[in-house]
Amino acid sequence: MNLETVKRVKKSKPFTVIDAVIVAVLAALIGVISWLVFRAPSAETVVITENGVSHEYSLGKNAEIKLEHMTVHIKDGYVWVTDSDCRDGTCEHTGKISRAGQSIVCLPNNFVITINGKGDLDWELGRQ
Amino acid sequence: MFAVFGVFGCAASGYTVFGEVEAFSGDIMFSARIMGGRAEYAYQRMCGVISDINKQCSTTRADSDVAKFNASGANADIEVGEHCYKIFIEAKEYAALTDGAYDPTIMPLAELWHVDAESLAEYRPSIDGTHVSPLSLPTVEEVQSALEYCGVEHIDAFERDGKYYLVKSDARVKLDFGGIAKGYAVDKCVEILKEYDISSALLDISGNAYFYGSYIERGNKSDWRVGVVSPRPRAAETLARGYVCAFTEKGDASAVTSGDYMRYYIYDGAGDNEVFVPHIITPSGVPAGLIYSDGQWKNAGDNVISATVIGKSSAMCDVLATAVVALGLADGARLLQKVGYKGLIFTEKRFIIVGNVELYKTDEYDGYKAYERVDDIESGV
Ligand SMILES: [Zn+2]
Repeated sequence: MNLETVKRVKKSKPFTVIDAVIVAVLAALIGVISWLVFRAPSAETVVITENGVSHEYSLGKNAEIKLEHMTVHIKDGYVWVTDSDCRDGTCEHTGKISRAGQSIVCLPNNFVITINGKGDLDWELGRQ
Repeated sequence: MFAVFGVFGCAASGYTVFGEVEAFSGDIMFSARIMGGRAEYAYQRMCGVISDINKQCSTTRADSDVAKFNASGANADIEVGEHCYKIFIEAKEYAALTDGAYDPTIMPLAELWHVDAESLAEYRPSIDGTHVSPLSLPTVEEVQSALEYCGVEHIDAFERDGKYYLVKSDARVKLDFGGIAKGYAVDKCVEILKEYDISSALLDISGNAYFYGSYIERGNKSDWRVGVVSPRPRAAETLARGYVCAFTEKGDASAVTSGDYMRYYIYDGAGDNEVFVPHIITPSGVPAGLIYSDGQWKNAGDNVISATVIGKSSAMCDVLATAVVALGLADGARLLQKVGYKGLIFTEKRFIIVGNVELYKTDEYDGYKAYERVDDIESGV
């Protein structure tokens, strides 16, 4: 960049609010487009929703998630709950889930664990 | 027994989702999504029926009717429950229909090959890449002599004073309803759904799925979208779970997938000869895909690795899926055509679609494209 260019830049109008909006909109568009284009056809995920707030984990990665009301285990493709403080204990009794579309629900704690498959399938075959 | 009955929560979809219950100490997994009618009552009734069937037919419970029959001597009348009796009658018909490709009496062969439920629990490879090999595989002579006491003709079934009996002609005869009982249970559950005015439901008993009515989303009816898990790499080799294809199904049909990749073990043969031994045994008494040559068992190559069967009766789907793996691509496809059931059959290299199966999102669920499609059964021999 030569001196002439620097001067010209200095003389140009300052960054306005409209510029900022345009930049933000463009950035958002690029973000959305790249998300649509590069969204990996990921394997199943485990979505844990507590009081409407969701967190996503990989079903293929073992994890022990200690939460306020319970512990969620992800191991070798199975998901289950232990140490729940709910009064009915149905979430623990649900046992292990392993396939897309399955859920563990804890009504007292307003808590849902769902296995999401790749894409939009209602069910899958050939896991047993 | 079921750990608990009636585990449910209302999903946003409008279906009452019953989380998969690991039932009967792991013998059976049952899950359901039910819309309309009295879902909770229907679910509890279904759990009861599944529990009854399992109590009568499990091979791993020492107190089941099947276990009592298997342990019994020749010519002793063994009283069994109604489900057990009816499953045997149905199984016998299917054995005839499939020319023995499905056979409920191959338990002695399954034990000989270490592919019965108990042996597989020991030898199934683990996800960490390790496996335990049985010390030996049976000899050709051992297989031949076991075949002599396999076959439904060795068992008599009769009713007397409202009670049901099974009796065998040879003490070594054993039953295994593993390839039919889950399907039979699904069919019983479908009867219950009708009783409780259910409008739409999805049932799955250990891999035997049933799509009851149409799929309903925000009040609109649509087809069920079903993925078929990729048979390769085998179960113990990956946790990444791709689909070999997906299809749509209008409903009021069952679908079952059988294959060589979930229940199997690896036998460490002489030298580098690793033999993959699947749980499905062919009419010749040998696990699907195995041949005997140069003095040892080997994998033959192009056997059926995944067979999905779609049709009205879940028991029949269950039986046919096993039979297709046992028969191979061409004979398996012919069998499905003969009985009018739909199917998707994959071997290591090829696949065939039998009947009118609508593939779904072929760009996204495109694993099948790695296989060569066989359009004409006769050319697929
Ligand atoms: Zn709970």
